[in-house]
Amino acid sequence: MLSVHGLETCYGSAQALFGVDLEVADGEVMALLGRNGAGKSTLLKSIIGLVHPAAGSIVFAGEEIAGDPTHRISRHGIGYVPEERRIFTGLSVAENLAVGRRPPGGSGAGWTAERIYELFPPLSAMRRRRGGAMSGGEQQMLAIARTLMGNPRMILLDEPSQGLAPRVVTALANALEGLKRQGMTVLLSEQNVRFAERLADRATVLETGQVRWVGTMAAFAADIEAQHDLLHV
Amino acid sequence: MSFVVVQALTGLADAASLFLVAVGLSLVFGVSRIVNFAHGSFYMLGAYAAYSASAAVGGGLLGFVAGAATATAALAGLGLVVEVGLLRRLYAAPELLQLVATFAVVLLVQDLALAVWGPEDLLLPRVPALSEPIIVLGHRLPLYDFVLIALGPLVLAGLWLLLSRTRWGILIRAATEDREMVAALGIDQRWLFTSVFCLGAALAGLGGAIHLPREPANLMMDLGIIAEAFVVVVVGGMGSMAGAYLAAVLIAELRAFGIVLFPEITLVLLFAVMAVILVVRPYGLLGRPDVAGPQPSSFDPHPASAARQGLRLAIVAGLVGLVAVPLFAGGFTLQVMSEIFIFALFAASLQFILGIGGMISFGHAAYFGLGAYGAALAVHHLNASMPLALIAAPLVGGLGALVYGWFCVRLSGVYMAMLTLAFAQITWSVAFQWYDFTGGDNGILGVWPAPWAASPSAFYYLSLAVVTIAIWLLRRISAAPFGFALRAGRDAGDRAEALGVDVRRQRWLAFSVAGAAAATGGGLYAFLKGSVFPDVLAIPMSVDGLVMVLLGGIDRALGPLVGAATFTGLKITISSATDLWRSLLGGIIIAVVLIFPRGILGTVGGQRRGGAK
Amino acid sequence: MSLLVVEGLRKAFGGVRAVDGISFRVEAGESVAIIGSNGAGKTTCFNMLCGQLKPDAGRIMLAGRDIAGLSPHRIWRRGLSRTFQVAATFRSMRVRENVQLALLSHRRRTHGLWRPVVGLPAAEADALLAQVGLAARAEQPVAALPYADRKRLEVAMALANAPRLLLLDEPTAGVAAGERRALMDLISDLVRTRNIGVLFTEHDMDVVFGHGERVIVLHEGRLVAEGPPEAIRADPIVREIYLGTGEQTC
Repeated sequence: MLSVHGLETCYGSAQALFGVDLEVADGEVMALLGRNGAGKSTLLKSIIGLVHPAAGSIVFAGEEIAGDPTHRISRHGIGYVPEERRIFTGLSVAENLAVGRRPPGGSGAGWTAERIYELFPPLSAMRRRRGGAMSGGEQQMLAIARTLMGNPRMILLDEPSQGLAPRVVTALANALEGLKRQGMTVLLSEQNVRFAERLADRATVLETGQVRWVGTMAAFAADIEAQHDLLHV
Repeated sequence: MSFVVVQALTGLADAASLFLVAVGLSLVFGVSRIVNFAHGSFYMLGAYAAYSASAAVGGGLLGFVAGAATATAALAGLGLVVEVGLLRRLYAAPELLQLVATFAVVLLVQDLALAVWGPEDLLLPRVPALSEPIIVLGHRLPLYDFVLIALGPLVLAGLWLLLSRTRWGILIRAATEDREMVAALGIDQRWLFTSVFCLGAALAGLGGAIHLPREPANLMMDLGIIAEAFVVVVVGGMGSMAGAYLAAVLIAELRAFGIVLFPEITLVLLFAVMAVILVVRPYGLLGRPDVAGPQPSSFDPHPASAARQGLRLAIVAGLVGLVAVPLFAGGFTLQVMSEIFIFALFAASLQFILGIGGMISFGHAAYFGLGAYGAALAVHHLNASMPLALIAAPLVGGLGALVYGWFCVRLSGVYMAMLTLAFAQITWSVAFQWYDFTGGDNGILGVWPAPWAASPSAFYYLSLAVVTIAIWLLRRISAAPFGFALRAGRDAGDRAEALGVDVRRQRWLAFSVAGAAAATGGGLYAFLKGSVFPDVLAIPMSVDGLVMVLLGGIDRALGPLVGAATFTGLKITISSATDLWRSLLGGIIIAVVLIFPRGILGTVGGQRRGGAK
Repeated sequence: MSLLVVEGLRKAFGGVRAVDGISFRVEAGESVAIIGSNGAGKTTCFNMLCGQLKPDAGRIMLAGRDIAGLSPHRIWRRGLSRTFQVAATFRSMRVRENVQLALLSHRRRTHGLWRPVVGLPAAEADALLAQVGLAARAEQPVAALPYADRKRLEVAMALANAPRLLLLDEPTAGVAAGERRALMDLISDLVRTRNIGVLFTEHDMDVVFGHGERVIVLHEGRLVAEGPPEAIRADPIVREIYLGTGEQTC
């Protein structure tokens, strides 16, 4: 479904990605692991077009999308949930969802606000609340929900569990497992290996902007040495 | 008591059109981050369009309604053309270029309006249905005032509904908060920008149309309203619709009462209120800091360096050449060249704060003009000799810059641009209205040079000497620690602060130095022309200065001279050949912005520099 | 007397308590790391120490004098210098000029209008540049420097006022792994010889545990643990909330 090859991205003169390759199959959850500053966020931003890669190719569903404007990449069917969540703080929950709403494409799942509220019950009770008045966990749910409203074929999740209380993390993991069962393709950037282990089929590990390890999630979770080397845990 | 009520009602009625213009300006800025100078021109065109449409229908109430509808629709259409044709290419450009480009539209519209509607004021024939008197506490007020009083809140409520109840409105609010995220959700922002610009233009057109029954359409409406709208937007808080209404009412009420109670100091009162509000609430009455976050101007400056050997030789050779000019040139040439020198100093002083300080001033003419008036008034009222008057000029201009600058340097980017413009406009109004002291629009005549400097060649040498010394001093300051600290504040303000540099103070002092330098040029200008008129303080003069800086190249040592020479040369050749000087200037500006954003010297010299790296 | 004493520091943004009553100390010559996940309050805390934010409550005593609420340039004059997460240098100047400016500021000579900067404390600037290994690049424009060298330049600028306390905001962020160690070793050497206290935030745990003599852990605006690196590494609470290897996370 998504195929990244030889991707290089720079911020000014600071290079963040050095020739990254990545394959994500249809219906697969791929974990993108690595420490802070390893280049995970930059990779996701490069895919969605918020930063422009200096070199390399990004092919999604058979089409080259590297260098396209962000809104067009999104319309190809890629949803993006940023690390900072970036909820529209002045808009209500319902309005945030309305911004994300787009008619389902060919293989779209036909998300509606009602189905969203089923997936994330807490949101249902706060439809009129302003995004700025929500807790971190609620904002995270809303950020994912808002992206689903666009009926993406694949979503890029940037550190969804970060800064959340353990109870909220569990609820989030449950919701994401539900999404996975429905066949959603996910590229999940995480630092929390346990969280990733629960959801991911395979894992790609980045270090200082390069891919250092690719394989099944189970294999990485079992490889204490690799975890220590690459994640320092 | 009844007087208070009646004046308050008149003020409320006045606020309506000001609000319509300001709220559109604010909406457009919120989404696209562009401050549209041409918004006042849309207002003016709205008034003219309403006049013509009303006349075509045969006047009366129907004519008025048809006029307002036509103005709204026509301006929405023009907004579409301007956005798609010009602004869309500028969203990624530095703020200064955006501002100057929208000013080019102001110039084009001025010529267009003159060509279509002529120079005469156009007064809408009385509409009996609207002037029906209503008695309030024994005073007769026209019915129309009450229509206007109702219109402001109605439009505010309508906009509020539009923004809160429609998908379009929700997208606009989302884009105002976070444009990138809106794009990541698959929304093409281009049509959002276009539509919001059309809405803003339509509101300005409507504002012009509804003002027509109270005042005739005229060619000065555009710059008059834009300065006030800037004040309203800055005072109300950028991006806040309710703030725009509140500020529009505040300004209109101040004017309504001020004109009756303190006719001489109405403008000073406005200024004082605005200043107090900005000191207490730098982001305006209802503004939020996060919307107002300063955006660093994104010129990519060259590493500073002392003048290179080659450049130094060229300058010395050039000066020797200039000293020799009076040996063979005639009086007219010498006068034109004196004017070029004076403008070169004006441009160099602007370049000093713009290029090194990163401060965008859209009201630099205030200091040039204060210098000119300072010298002229010293001659006129105090019988001062020319040397004394020339010393008075930088003192007056520097003092003005010290006072205005104290407020201006608290803001940055477009906010600063708007505030500098507002101050310049206030100064212009004072010169225009304070008849007893400044002669109003009759100006001050008979400001002749002393006998020893009266001949064209003597005045040429005087200008050359003063300007050379002043520019040399500015260069010297730029290369001294003061200039470096100023540059440091521009490059990385937080970094400079964290190295002990008081950035705001540095900017304030630089602003004052630049004001004094511009005023020095202004003083010479008064003696060159033998007279002073309010024009020297007006917005077009400020823009001329900006165009000279941009033409020459914002980061070039010789930029101001090259810019002033090119600009003045063009102006003299073209205005003798055609009446369309303003259109041509507008065209030049657009060409500079779109094709040579680095100026003549930057474009010619860029290659060489690039290779040397 | 401790070099830096922070007591009951608080800051809220619209009801969210970003920093919720933090107290700690830094001694002269000591190197202290602050860690915590994003949103834990590190940056807010840093910005209050440097004067970019005014605290809602609390005291910040630097060498016995309260600096809370002062503007950044005043705090710098009291002897607190800093570097930024994204190296902040003056991009329109040459490398040497960046350091010269910092030195001129230290001597309160930034209002000089006459003598060009070119000749002003150039020798001292070069000496500082030599200490960070940039002597050969003094003439180059900053824009031409590789990113890691810009971080070094920032260190040279931060040392220009002979600071008592140095705040480093993620000193190795954006620097390639191979160059991190050299950069941190350089900083450690410089501060040790000058007896400067150092407070730094960092995400790279090698840097934190390798260069911090003491580690402070923030979580949701509060200080949840403090101690030597070995103790912090073993602390179960820290492992759960920050290092992400706790057992009950899911």
